[in-house]
Parts: sequence; C-alpha cells; structure tokens
Amino acid sequence: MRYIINNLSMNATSKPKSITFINFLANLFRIGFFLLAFSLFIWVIYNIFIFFTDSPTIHMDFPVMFSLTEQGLWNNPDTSELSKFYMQSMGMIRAENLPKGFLALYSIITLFANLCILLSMRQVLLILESAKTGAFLIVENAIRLRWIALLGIAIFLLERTGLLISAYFFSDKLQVSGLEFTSVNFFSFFYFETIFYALFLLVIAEAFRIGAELKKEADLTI
Amino acid sequence: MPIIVNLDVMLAKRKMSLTELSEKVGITLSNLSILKSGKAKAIRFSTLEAICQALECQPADILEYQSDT
Repeated sequence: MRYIINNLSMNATSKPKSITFINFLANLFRIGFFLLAFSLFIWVIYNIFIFFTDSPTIHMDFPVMFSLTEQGLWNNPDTSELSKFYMQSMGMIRAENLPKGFLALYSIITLFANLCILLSMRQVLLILESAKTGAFLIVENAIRLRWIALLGIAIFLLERTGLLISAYFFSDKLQVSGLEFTSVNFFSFFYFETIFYALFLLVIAEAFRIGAELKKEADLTI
Repeated sequence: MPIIVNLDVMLAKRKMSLTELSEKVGITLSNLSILKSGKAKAIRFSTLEAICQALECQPADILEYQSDT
C-alpha cells in the first residue's frame, strides 16, 4: 500500500494563479492613498496659513441644515387639488471672516476624519499586499479588517459631529429670505446605514479571524 | 502540549534519516520536521499508519502522553 499524503493544498504560502486583479486594486488604492495624503498635506499647510494670517476663509465648505419658512403646494394628480408640502434640506456654504475658534474646531474634525480614511486605505493596502504573497487568510488580515470597520465608525461619527457643529453654529447666524436654518433636521439622521455596514464588516472580520485560525490549525495537521 | 512526539527516537532506533522516512511515507520533509519538532497541532490516522508501517512500530512508540502537573 502506497500512501500519498498531499499537504501542498494547505500550504499557507501557496501562490494564487492570477494576481492581476489584486495588483489592479492595490495600484488603485495606492494612487488614492497618495492623492489623498498629498491633498490633505496641502490643506493642512493652507489652514495653518489661514489661521495665523487674516486671509479669507472661503476655502472650506460648511454643511448647514435648512427648511422653507412657508409650506409649499403640490398638484395632487389623484384629486386634482393642491396639497401642502414641507421641505427640509442640507447644503454647503462658504463664508468669509469666520471666527478662528470655530474654524479650528471644524478643521480638526475634518483632519481627523481624513486621517481615518487614510489609515483605512493603508489597512486595505496591507491586506492586498499580503494577498499578493498568497497569505491572504491570516489572523493579521482579520485584525486589519476589524480596524477598517472601527475606523469606518470613527469616520462616520467625526463627520456627523462636524455636521452638527457646523449646522448648530450657522443656525442662528444665516439670513436668507424664505429659508429657516436649523441645527437639526431629517438629514442629521441620514446615512446611518454606514454604521451598519461597519458593524457588518466587524462580523466579517470575526468570521475571517475564526477561518484564519482554523486554517492555521489545518496547516499544522500532518 | 502534553503529547510528546518521539519520532526522532524511533528514527534513531531504526537508523533512518528524516529524508528517507519522507520518501517512504510520501510526506514532505517540512511537514515531518513540524511533526518531529512538536509544532504540529494534529496528526491524521493515515499519516500515523504510514509512519508506523515505515518504521515498523506501534503508534504508542511515536506518541507519548506526559501530564503537565
């Protein structure tokens, strides 16, 4: 009786046949990472310049919430009568001579949110780099996925905080006829599904970690 | 781990090298080294059977239980 025990298929460092798509994704993320890092660097330098000089502050967009002061009318096709409607919206404004305290606070929040995006991209790059070597299903990648999910939650919270601060700051300071600016409206609670995507990624990361540990164990089964 | 692999003892008794055993049982040298060094998490019955046949011994000659306490 001849025994052929082939453990090659379980080799953790076995190279995938084609890494073209992985290479493409890695290049895409690398370009995105460097573009974002470069633009963020320029933005930080410019903000420091603005902060220590009295230059105009129209380089940044600030989110605001507003609604119509008067109710509108719409033509109901079922009844052919005019019915009322109310509108809430979110917009971006650019303003001159903003207080430096508010500008610094909003800039720091934006900076941290962008740094979180950069860190997420870095984690994705590390996952793709490990995939290139064939060692994709490893515990380190599960930890990276977990970090991406946590950074996603952090990005969401930072952006939401920036949005609320900006909307609150401008709510009693902006004057446009026919519009009422508020600190909170429907859009304050919009895009909450991002949190669920991040939580879903956390679940995936945990499943990935269990899978990686099982694979490690299988690799050490002779 | 309280399970000790005495593969090196059996190889010495049979005056056989790890490479020879690898060729006889069809397991890669690296996997046999993992088994010999005690880094392996588990061993298949088929592997054990192949090693026992090649070394003309019993599973108990290769594996030994030593209590931690």
